[in-house]
Amino acid sequence: MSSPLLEIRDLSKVFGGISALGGVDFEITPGEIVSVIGPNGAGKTTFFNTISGLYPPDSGVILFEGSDVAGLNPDQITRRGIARTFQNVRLFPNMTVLENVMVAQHCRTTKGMWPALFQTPGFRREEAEIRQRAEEILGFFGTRLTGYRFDQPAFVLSYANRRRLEIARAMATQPKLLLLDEPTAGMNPRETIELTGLIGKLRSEMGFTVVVIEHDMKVVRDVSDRVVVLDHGVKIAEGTYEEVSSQDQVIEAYLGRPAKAGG
Amino acid sequence: MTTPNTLRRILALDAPTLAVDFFLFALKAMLVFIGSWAVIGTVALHVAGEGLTAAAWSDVVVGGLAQGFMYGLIALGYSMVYGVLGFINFAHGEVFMTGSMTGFFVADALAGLWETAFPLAFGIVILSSVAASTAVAVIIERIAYRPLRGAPRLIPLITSIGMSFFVQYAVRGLVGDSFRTYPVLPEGLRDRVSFLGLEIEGIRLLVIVVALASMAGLWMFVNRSRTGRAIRAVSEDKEIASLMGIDVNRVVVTTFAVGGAMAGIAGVLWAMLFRNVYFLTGFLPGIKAFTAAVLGGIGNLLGAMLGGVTLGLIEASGPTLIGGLRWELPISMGIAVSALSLFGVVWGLRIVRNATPGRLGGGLGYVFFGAIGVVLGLVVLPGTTVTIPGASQLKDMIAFLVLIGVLMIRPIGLLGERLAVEERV
Amino acid sequence: MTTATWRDAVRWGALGGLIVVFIATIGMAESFDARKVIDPFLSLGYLSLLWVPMALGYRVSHRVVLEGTAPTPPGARDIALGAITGTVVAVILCGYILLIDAYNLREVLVNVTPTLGHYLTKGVGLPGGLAFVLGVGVALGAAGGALHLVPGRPRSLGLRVVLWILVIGLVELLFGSILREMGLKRIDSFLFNLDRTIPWYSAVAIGLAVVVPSVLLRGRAQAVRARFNTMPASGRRRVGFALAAAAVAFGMIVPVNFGPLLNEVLATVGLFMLMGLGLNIVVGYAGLLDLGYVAFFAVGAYSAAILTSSAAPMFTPELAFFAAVPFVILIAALAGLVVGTPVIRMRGDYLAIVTLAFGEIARLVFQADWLKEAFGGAQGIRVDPARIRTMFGYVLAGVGLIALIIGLLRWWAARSLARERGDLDSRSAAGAVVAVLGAAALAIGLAFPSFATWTARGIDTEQIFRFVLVFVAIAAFVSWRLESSRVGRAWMALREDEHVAEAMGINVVTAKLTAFVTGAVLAAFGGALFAIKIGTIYPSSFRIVQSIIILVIVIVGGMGSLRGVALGALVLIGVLGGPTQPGLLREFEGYKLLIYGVLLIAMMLKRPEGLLPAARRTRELHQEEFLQDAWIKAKADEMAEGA
Repeated sequence: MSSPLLEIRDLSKVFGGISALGGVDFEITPGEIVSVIGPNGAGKTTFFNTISGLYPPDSGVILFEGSDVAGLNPDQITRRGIARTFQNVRLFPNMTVLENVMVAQHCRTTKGMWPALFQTPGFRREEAEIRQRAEEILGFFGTRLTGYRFDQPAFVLSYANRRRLEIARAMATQPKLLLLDEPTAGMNPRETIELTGLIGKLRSEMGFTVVVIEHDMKVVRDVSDRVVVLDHGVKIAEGTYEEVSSQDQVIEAYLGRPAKAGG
Repeated sequence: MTTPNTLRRILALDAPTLAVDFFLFALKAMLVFIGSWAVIGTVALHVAGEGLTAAAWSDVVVGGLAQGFMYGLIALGYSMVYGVLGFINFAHGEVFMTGSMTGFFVADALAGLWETAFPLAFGIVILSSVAASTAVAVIIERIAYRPLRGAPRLIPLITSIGMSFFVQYAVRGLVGDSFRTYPVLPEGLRDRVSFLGLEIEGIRLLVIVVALASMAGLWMFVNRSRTGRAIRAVSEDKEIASLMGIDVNRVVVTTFAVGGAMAGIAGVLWAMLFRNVYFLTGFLPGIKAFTAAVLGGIGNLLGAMLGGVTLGLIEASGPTLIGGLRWELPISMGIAVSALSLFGVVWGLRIVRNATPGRLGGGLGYVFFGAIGVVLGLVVLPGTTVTIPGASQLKDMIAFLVLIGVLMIRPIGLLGERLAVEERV
Repeated sequence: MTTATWRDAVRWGALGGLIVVFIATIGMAESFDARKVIDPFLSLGYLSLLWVPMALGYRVSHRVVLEGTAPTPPGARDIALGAITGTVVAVILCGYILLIDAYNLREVLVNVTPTLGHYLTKGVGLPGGLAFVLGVGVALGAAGGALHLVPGRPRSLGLRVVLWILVIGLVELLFGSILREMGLKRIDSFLFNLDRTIPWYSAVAIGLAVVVPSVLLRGRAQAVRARFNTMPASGRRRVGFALAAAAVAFGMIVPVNFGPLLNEVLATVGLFMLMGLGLNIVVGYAGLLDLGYVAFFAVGAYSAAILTSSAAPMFTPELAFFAAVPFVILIAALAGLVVGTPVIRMRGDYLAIVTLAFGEIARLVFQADWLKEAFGGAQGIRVDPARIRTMFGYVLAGVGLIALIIGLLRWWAARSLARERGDLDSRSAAGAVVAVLGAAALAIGLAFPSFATWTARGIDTEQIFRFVLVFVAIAAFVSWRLESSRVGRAWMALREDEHVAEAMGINVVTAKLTAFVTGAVLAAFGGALFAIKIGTIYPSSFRIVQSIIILVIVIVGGMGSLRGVALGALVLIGVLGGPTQPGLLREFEGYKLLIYGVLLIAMMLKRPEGLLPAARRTRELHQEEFLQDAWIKAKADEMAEGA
């Protein structure tokens, strides 16, 4: 096995005296798909927020490709190659579909104000590239986000399309590691199946390493190489889906203590 | 000192962020430095016998307190509205002005009574002013803010700016643009009275007493009454509160009404102290009171009062304190500054070595400006004096600098915001 | 709620009554009376009262169109409800007239004079006047209700006729001087009486002039609009650019024909348009509510004055105006950084209030006796007229040089793109054209440097206007280019959701500072021009009101929309005037800020996106999806807000 792409040691985050993450260790190697599961309030989203820099961690080490990214600003972390989606879909609603994906390439492009003012050759070339890449990425989702959709503002999209656009936007930052926060939430069964396939394709066709937070156990089973279970900010189990799903501790975390569950 | 690892971390940061952190640190350091120089200088001058007399000082302090309590009264309105609806009600200064204006007309009509039976006249004036302010505040809420419930919070802010202009110029259209002068205060209030060993102008004592009483009343209302409980519930979470059977609209109206009433009281007091009122009277006290609310921690009632008093004191003593810069720094002070700066350098190096990248800029700031401070303290400062003529003109500027400084150094105010802690995401 | 009841009518009527009484009490009606709209019978003063019963009579039977339900057909009921509304309005006004007749309120309400009652009854006197007021109220209310019976197209035509008559009547100055300068004295004297009011027959003529072409050309206008809408985005942008360029060129040539007064107003409009464009970058694009924008304006004005004038006590480099401009830019950029840095991490409303504080601080610094040596204190700085001697030919040459460079770059870029893709691109031709035009301008400018020499200290309003126009064009060009670039997209992402923008790799610090600096530089241009325009600058010219009025322009026009800002500045500043500068309607002088306030509130309540919102033309093209997804939009806004 190659060296890990992301290596987290003893990551902690405390909110107002409540420990949202209490010393989590985590590791993912290039090309893996890992699911993070756990009951509500287990600290999954905090885990993502801390990795992507939205919250600075209280303690712990986040090594991405061997260098510590803990405490960096989110934009710098994205620049290094970690991109994410949000649980409650946060697009730029008044920008068009295409603009949403174009703006995400910001950290991979360089032309600032003066080239834009004078429309230098470099600027025009870069702009053409950005547009082309955005169109390619949107094409990854079939025809749903292409054609006349390009120039529609994001707020007119259907819920499922917004989820797709958010993934497209994350892809456009050209990351190595993709963090998907509940990508299938609120989708109907058919869309869920389709998205499950898509997550696989993100690895096989696009070469991303993926961490998924997911509630739908079918999706978890189908996509993940490995499953990590969080509860109250602590990792309580790790392994393949089959290994994890049979552990008492995991079942307990989901259903409560047997005494209560049985009652 | 700098390990290769630290250097790598510094290099990994992007230049603009680092520069900004650095610049912010410089600003804060400058504010703190000038502030402490002014304060220490004033004390030193006083000790040397060049400063104000004790009587003058007590005037400054009492004046500041009176002014501050009025700021506090107005600030309560900002704070309560911010707590419940989460936006800055820019038009609150105008609510204050309408109260003051109404008070003038009533006081003018009662001119005879004002001389002979002052308490009665004062009571009537206060009541009518409170009635007017409350009515204006509630009408403003109904027209301009209720339709915007749930809009992004910059929208009601912009609306309130429009409202502020509207009220100002409506008042101008109604009563004209001349200065209206309150009737002369009765004898007893113009004289100095002795209170707690201080010789205080009667009117200032009245201002402080009335303001304290109103604040106490409000405090009781919010913390003891049923409606007060509802207000607190709504400021925690509007939706949950409405699920619990609280009529949110009524609570919001009550909030505006109570805030308006406080502004009305402040309006009369203000006009009695400064005698004049005209249609633009509300602007500056409005902004200052907002500063006070932020200073104390917006959404926090105690904070509003504390912030008001603090701001009043800073403003009143500001020109005197600026005079403190005239103090010639002795060599011992220069050495002290150097020592402190040296400590800053060491402290900064510690931060730099252990810090997460987010705090690196500040750490470097400590190192850099600490080094400057060492040099400055030993070479430049001893013997330096700064004389600023016309310091009293800078009163407003000091208030605004306090606002900026507070929002830079401690954005949640002295006592902290009572709003639900806003998470970063 | 598809049908209104008489209860609604009474409620709306009461509201209307209050509005009418308010307008009368603040003295608006009487002081607007000087301006006649249609000669014998209608003045602006009466108009400010008469619209109320009519508009509310129309509003009372307003229908909410729900999907899938047919609206109730209009009928006599609408007229009746309108009439009730009008009656209530009139009754309240009658009560008011009786009240002010019985009591003397003048001690408190300065505008309630004995003549007011007389005025409100149109001079009829008390008992008869009340009947007159009632009659007018009922008639107008009923007429308002009756509007529902008029089918859509005639109604909009009628509205347009009324609008044009009003516009021509109100800004007769504009039309009159254009007509006279164009040598069309006869039309002028037909349209306007000697006292510059419109007689009734020319009102009819104006109506005909609006209706006839509109009926004849209806199909064609629609076809043009449809073709524009189906054009690809780049094509639309190009058409927009061509139109804007034409407008600028027109503005450069035409002012010769206007009187000094009109030029003065136009220069003010241009100045505010320039600052509106600057603030639009900060507020409209990047979403940073800057209430202290006037600080940058002041910095521009003061740095220009100090650098050029010999009257500035402390620094006297006495540069020529154009030599000073680069320094002004530099100083403004620094000011942008100084104001922008502390507010980077502040949330929206704190940012607003801190920028406001900076705005006041700037004024206080310029005013303080402490720095009188440098800034002249409250007496301000007189700008030295000799220093602003400018030969317009050099300006033209400079513009030409820039155009030449841009054109060559574009040409080269298009060529290289075409070579890469292997197909020929028409854009290389456009670049070549721009380059050739630029070269021509450069040559003309250098050959005739003094074709429009401008020496006087800005009293020459005509040149000032041209000059302002050049800078407006620059500002518009900058905004237009940045809008669809990497920088502009980053700003918009920031406006939509700062945290997500950061998570998508946008450096918030750089993006915010660029916005602040760009805005500051544009405002500083405005300030520099302002300095030479008025000749002497005082700290009191830079009050917060200025910032707010610029904000009103941006908001009324439409945040983030260039045409919106242009329209906002043209209409608001043109008609109402700036904070201290008069507009075309001098009668508004005392009520200007009142009206600005009302506009700000009304826009936020009814149309927060502005009159000409930033282009989202897909809305027109895919209407059905918008209806279906309306709730999602609400949801999205909610989410964006919840952040």
